[in-house]
Amino acid sequence: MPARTLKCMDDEALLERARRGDRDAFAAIVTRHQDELYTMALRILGTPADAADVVQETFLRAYVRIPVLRGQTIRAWLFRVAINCSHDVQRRTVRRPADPLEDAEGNIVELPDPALGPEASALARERVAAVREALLTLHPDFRAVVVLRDVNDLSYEEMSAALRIPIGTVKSRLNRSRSMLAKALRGTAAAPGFAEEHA
Amino acid sequence: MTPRHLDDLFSAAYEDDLSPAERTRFEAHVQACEPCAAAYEEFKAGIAVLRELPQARMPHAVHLPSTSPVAERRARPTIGLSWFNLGLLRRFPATAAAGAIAIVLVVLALTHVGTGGNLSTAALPASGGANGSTAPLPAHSSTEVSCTQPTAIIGSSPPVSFAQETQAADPTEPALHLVLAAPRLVVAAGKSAVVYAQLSVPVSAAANPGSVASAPPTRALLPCLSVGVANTTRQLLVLPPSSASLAIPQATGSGFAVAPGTELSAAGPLVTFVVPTGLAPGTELHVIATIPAGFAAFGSPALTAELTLTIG
Repeated sequence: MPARTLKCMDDEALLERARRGDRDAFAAIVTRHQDELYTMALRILGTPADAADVVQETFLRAYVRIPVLRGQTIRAWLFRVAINCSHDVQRRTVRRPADPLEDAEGNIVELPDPALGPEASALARERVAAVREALLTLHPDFRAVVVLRDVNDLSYEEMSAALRIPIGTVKSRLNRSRSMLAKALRGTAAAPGFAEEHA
Repeated sequence: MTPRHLDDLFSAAYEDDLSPAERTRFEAHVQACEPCAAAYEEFKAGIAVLRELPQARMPHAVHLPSTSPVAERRARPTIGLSWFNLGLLRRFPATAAAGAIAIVLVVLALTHVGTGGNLSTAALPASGGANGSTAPLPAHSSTEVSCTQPTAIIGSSPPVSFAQETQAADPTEPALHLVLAAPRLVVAAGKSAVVYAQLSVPVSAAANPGSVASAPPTRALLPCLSVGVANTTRQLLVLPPSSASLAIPQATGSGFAVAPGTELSAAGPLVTFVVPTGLAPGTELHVIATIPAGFAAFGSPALTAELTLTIG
């Protein structure tokens, strides 16, 4: 089946094909979700190499769980697995300095907007680094909830499924996470008014 | 008395989740309370910064196993703890408790009988124990197979026609998986039947997913394999590959034999056997593939995959 056709199919239809042995259908699911999972893992872990490993591991687990996966909930399931993998990485690795714009081989993975001038690009890069540092000050549970909502734009229901906590807990934890993040951003390049002050 | 700050409502206010009354109270408070107003602006700015971040792109392709995605599990209904079952348990806890106790007692009784001798069930001859006192195989159970070292084989994916497939995987090593498959679940007495059994083991490159540009290489192993008649001690086939040879129970005149041209040697994952003629239609045959604990890696769990074939 042409890749364009697969691209138009929803997750349930792709999973159904994957269950019948269609490797391309599963690859289409990977293509659809890999970047958002990678973004989430990168914001939680802060290191591109670890984030890429988390995405790889998540899809390997999905691959062997195809018979029991359901298309309507696969997005939340993938996020849940990716979060668990991220927590595993956090537990077994010490925090190491890394440039969030470069992967393990030094390739730039988050290019600033090319329309920005050199100074603005540097500022944008500083902002990304500041957000990364601020996120890393949060407890992993709080970091995960704010990333899922404000980076990946998951619904409360999806967050509840991904984190396996009630929606009420999602909301209260999100409020606390956002407050802690706002405080952690004070005085950094990502704080309100920083760009104007340093213009 | 200082009025209570409303920072616990910031998120709900931002998401527009407040009731009209709460919204009115919140806005009135923020207008009157300078610290809250500043904190709310800071709160919103933090969210805006996160939302402005660009989506990152996965730096390299995701590597998938070289085998095909797992085929759908067998269509036969299985007994499991569905939400329906859980609902029954909630509504009838006493009945459930009594049932659980009964199950435990039965299991204990069977275990006691099964451990009466040191022979594994699968190693018993087809005619059962000498005194015939051994317990029959339960309808669905993992049978101990005397197997310590699965044998390397030339691996391959299950044939396309093998629509019935089940598998077991180590949750901590998902690329390592045991697959058991058959072309169909109904077999005919007196005819040959074929099953596919293979453990795919990722080699060193697969231990670090994403570290190589190509798909992780794997090696294939033939697991321990047994075919038993349900509710009896009768084993049609026991394949302990540690010796790369068959441990075939003595035929009992029912016509059991290894099919000519069978691939029972350690050359591939396909195993063929002849279904005895004496088995009545509806009789179930349990095919069990096993990998012993600790085989794949230190601490790895035992893996067992089962298929149930029915005499048609």
